[in-house]
Formats: sequence, structure tokens, C-alpha cells
Amino acid sequence: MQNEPVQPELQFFADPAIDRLLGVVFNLAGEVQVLRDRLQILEAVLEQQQSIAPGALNAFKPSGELQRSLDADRSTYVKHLFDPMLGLAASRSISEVSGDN
Amino acid sequence: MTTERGYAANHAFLVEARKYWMSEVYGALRHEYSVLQGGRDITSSDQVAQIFDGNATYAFYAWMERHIQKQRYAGRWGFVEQLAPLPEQEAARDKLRLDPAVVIPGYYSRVDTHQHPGNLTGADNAGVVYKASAQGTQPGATAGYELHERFASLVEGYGTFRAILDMGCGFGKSALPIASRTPGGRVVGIDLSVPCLEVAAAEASAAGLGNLSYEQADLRHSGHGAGEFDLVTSTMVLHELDVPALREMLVESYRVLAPGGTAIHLDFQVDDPFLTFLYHGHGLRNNEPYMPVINALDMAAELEGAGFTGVEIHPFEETPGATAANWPKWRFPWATFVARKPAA
Repeated sequence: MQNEPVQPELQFFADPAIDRLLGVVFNLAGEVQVLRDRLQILEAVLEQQQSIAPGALNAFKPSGELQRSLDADRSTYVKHLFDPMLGLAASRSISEVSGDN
Repeated sequence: MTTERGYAANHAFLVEARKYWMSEVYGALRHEYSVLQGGRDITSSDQVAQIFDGNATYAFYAWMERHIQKQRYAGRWGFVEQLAPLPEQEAARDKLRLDPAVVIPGYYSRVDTHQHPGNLTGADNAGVVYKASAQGTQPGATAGYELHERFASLVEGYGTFRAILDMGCGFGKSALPIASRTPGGRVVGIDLSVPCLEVAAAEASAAGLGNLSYEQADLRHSGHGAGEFDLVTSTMVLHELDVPALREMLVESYRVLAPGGTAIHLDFQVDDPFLTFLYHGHGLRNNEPYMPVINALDMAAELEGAGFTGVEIHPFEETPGATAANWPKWRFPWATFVARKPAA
């Protein structure tokens, strides 16, 4: 559904690399919060249900279908994480407007 | 592996980030300004821009404003990717009149307003996306549409109206509370965006408001007759227009008002140099490029130029206490613009 980026992203720091790197950090921060949320919920569910054995997570081997899903999700995640390095806006605007345009 | 929980968690993070930005980062910026100002008499936003040239806190302030909003709309967790269009059965067509002949004007189509990819006339989910975005624009103030309820209450204080035209109504966030307070009158909302109008009509239907309907129309040429309304309103519309469109809108609003009718617009106005600098910067960062030129206009003169008299411009409190001088958070410089069409 998302449009292709159409123009360079705005720059706020003297070195545009800082703008882009900050984008990576910001995306990473959002993803970390998504994981923190899921982990907290998962722990609460497992605790309530007493349904997991010690060491079960470390011993778990994903099935083919799950593995493919994990691979695809990791690929999406990496794209999302590093897209800001490209320095492209996701939306269009115009830079200056005069009073009599 | 996109999930509803992941979407909610990411947006909760963005809301928290925005709260931090509008309080902590804004507070730090304001403090630095007071130090850097050094007792000088600052009279223009250009002077403020010079003060902040190369300033790291301002760079972070500006970056966060731009990119928190960008993340809300775009990317894997963004509204545009995540939100489905309104289901067809909820579109409430009986409350909505579309006009395929409406041409989207250039001032509107050139910009993805609010950093909304594809803008409000793009994808089918544009109305749902805008509604989701509007609920978190200013956490703590506009969430839950408190602002629009307060505006509707203010409008109610100006008289009893029987025919109301809400120009640039969006998804009806002001038209709906105005209609709910006007049981003896009718309210018509007009907008260019079909996806927004569909959301507006669905909400009017869900609220059981028989006196509220929506039409696709250009606010410069509403299609309504001269003198048809006794009140014209708009909310957050004036600053989204370029100057020619604004002037045409004011002329059109004057035309459709009956003699003695009232116009009440909720928008922004600021002249403090520091706040003007941030407001104009917001226009750039949030893809609202007409903000600076509209803010620079003498709006009373513009209204009078369209024929209005008795112009009043007042600060508007979107939440109690927000207009106090020591308000600690960043906020939009809300203002109401009230004008009358002379009685015949």
C-alpha cells in the first residue's frame, strides 16, 4: 500500500549521516519495544498457565514452515531497520511557498 | 509476522516518544533559547533561526518532530501499511453525496499533507489513516477529540443556528459534535477527500444524527446557494490552503451565508518570535508548506476583504490551561477567527 519514496528526506544535522543513523536507531528502538511488549505478555501467559518446561525455548527447533516465516520476518525487519540510511522521504511536499503562489 | 499487538506496541512507543519530544526536548530547547538569547531583544523568527543555527538540541528537536510523524504513517508498522479501508457496508451512502466532477486542486495535490503518503485523496484507507493519525497528533490534548468538543461548545455560545456549512470537514471531527448540539438545525460537511467523507458519514450514521450529511465539494465552490446558511465553520483548514485558495474560500463562505450570518474558523495564529520559528518549522517538517504564509497574513483584513465585519480573533484553549504563559509543553497556537456578514 505504501508509495515509493519520491524525494530526499529533510536534513537537520550538519552531517546527513547523523540524520540517517538516527533513523536506524529510532527504528531499532521501536522494534525493541515491540519485542519487550511481546516478551512481557508471553511471560505473563506462561506464568498463568504454567505451561512451559525449563529449557524449552533453548531446545526448540523451528519447523520448515515456521523457519520460513522467521526468515521472511527477519528480512522485513532488516529492511525496515536500515531504510533510513537511504535518506528518502516517504511523502511529498514543496520546499518554499511565496505569498502570491 | 506483523501482528495487531506489534502494531499497537509500536504506536504506543511512538506516542511515548512524542510525549517526550513535546515536553522534555521542547523544554530543553526553550531553556537553551533563554540562555542563548542573552538578554537581546528578539523581534523576529529569523533572529531565532540565527540563534539556533548549528544547535544540537534544535537539530534533535526538529529530527524527532519529522521522524516520529513519519514512523506513524510509513514503514512496516505505519498506518498506511497496517490499516484496512472502511468496509463498504459501513460507508453510509445515504449520508454522503459524491461528485465525480470534483477536480483536486494543485495546492492540495502537490503535497502529502502531514507526511501522509498518497495524501487524503489517495488510497482507499486514507480516511481511516487520517482518523488514526488525528487521535495522536498531540497526546494529552487532541486525543479523544476533546479539542473538537470544546470547539463545538464555543460555536454553541455564538447563537442558535439552523443551517451550518462545515468547510473542509475531513472525517467530521468537528461537524459531528456541532450537529449533536444542533438538534433543531442541519449540518452539511464538505471536503475533497472521498475516503475521509466515507468515514465521516459512517460516524454520523453510527451516532444516529439525522441532521448531519456530507458532500464531496471544493470549499472554493461549494455548490450551495447564496444565503443558504446562517453559520459557516472550519477546523484546521485555513493553514492548509495557499493564499489564493484561502481568499476564494472566504469569498465563498461569505456568499453562502445569509445576511447576519456568522463564520467561525478554528486555526492557528502566532507572533511570538520563538514560537513562530517552531510553528513555521513545523509546517516544513510536517508537509504543511502554506503555514508560514497564512500565519503572516492579516487575517482580520482578509476577512474584511471578503466582506465580513465584526472580526474577532481569540486564542483557543484546546485543553484547560493550555494558553497560560508557563504552559510547559509544545502546542499548536490555536486561535478562533469569528466574523459576521452584515445584516441586510
